[in-house]
Amino acid sequence: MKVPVRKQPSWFQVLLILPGVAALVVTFLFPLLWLARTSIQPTTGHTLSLHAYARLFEDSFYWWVIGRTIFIGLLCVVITVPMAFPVALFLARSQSRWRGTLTALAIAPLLTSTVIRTYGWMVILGRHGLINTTLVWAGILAQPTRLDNGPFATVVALVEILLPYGIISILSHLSRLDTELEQAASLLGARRLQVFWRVLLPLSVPGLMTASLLVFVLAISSLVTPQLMGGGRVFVLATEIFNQTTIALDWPFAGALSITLLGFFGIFVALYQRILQRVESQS
Amino acid sequence: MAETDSTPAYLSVSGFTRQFPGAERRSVDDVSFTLKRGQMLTLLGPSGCGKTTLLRMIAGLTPVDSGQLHVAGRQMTETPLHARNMGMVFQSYALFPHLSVARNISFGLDVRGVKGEESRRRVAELVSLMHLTGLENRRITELSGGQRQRVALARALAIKPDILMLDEPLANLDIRLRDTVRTEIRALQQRLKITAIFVTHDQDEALSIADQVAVMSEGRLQQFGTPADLYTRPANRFVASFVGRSNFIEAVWVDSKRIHVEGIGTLFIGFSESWKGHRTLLIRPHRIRLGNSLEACCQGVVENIVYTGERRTYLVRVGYVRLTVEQQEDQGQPAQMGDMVGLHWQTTDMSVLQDSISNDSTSGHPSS
Repeated sequence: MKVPVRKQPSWFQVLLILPGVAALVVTFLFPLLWLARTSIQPTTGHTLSLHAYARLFEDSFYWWVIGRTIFIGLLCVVITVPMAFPVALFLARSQSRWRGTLTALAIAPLLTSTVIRTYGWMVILGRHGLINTTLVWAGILAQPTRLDNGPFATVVALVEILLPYGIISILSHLSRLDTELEQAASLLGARRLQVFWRVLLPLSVPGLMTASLLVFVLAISSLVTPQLMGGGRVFVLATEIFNQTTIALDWPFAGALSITLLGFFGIFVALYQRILQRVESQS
Repeated sequence: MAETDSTPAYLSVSGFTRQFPGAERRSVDDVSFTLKRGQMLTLLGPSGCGKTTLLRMIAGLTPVDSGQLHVAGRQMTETPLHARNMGMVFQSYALFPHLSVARNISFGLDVRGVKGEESRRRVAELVSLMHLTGLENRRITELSGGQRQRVALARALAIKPDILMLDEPLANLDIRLRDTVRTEIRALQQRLKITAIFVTHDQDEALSIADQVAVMSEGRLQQFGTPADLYTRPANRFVASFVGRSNFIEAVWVDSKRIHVEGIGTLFIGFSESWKGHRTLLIRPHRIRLGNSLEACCQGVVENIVYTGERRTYLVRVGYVRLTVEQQEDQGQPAQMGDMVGLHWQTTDMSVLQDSISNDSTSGHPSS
């Protein structure tokens, strides 16, 4: 293996990344700083204060919101990633000529807006939706039960919405894996399940990690789905920020909530990096 | 020959054929051969000749369209991979990056349920055999190319394979390591009396370590024989040009004392057996001797000289034909560019090839 020689970037290389950096500063870094400033600037008066943060951490309701947000995020990871893995595995290892089409189909839901897909779940899970009607018709239920408007519906919809992200991130990792490793394992006497447990699964860990992080981050930051599927009864950080911004008009508090959410992103990304480093130092 | 023929075939491949879906021609086309227990076979041929596909068909990694495989009398054509008991050293080594050296070597034992003392003893045995002592707990990524190669070999040997297969195992090694490693592999194979198949595109490699060589081209087996057979009695022009350096001349039999060579004229060289029409004759460059024009087979003008220390290689134009002549450094007076020289050789220095000259355009294939 050749080790690339590290050079000082030339002025031309600097010039090339300049537009991207400039765009990020204007559209990301600057608003972020503005947001941080808003969170410590009360609506009345001009003195800066941490009042919004104090309120956030003193009120047990917000601890509960934070806990619930993380719980829903983790629940989505625990359900979505194991569902995405077999699909990705099939798409990565299939020899079928339909493989390209199937891969496109697996990712196609991303072409549709989250709002529309969430409405789709409202139709399915609603009181007079597909599932209730079927169950009542089959005689399993005497009358429709409530499936929508709650944490259950929120998680169901989120899992479906986040599944394509899980599939692509695992697929991109699996397609980089050398299939000769699996062949070598088979020739050494490993049966299919042994190949899976001893070779394929351990080698898939980095891909599963990436998928988990992606699904988690998207789940805890999602607004539309908890808002629509929760029926106003699922309080997560994103919906709370939305309410504080548009209904309560308490921008400093909304800012404090946003910064808190960002802090959680940071913690989980750092955690992910640590685990990934440990995994990769082993392989 | 009779004595070796009495031992039964250990590995038998018959009529192996494989055409990949969408491919224009067969990658492996009706290949048959047998190998005795403890022999080393090299599959030799240019890239794309089907040698790796043939190896993978024997291993079970590539499906067989038609044909039969027998190992030690057992029909193995349809045997699933995990039950074949074949050891394979992949060109990329295909070592498990998530396992240590020792766990890589013991993988085949682990999946067979061989545990504890027995497994430890076997791993320790292979570690010392392959000079890997002290590296047992290393990660694969911490090893050099040569060390990885030895781990791959140890892992394949751990299962005591019926057949050991090596797919261009030296291709990813540093050029200085190759000779040593190939000698080591051969010594190991002979010591452990393992039946082995070794794929290579390097003729020196193929000839130097093999009991038998199978030369392949375009999916077909061109010749199967000992290294000496291939060199001294090549079946056709392809084998002759692939194994060693060669001169080909196209000749018509005149009578038992003369042949007529296209582009040169009549040569006073006799073949007792006659043939009809054109035949390709092979003369190895080192079998031609430069000398005075008297009593020479023919005369020519030296057009080029390459000096490599041990020998001089001359390109001599004879009529409309160019012949390559190799002379040892100490063999006679060196000729100069433009000299008129006499070329001397005898009937026994030539072999009559079975196919016609128009079959193949490659001539004087350079050897490395």
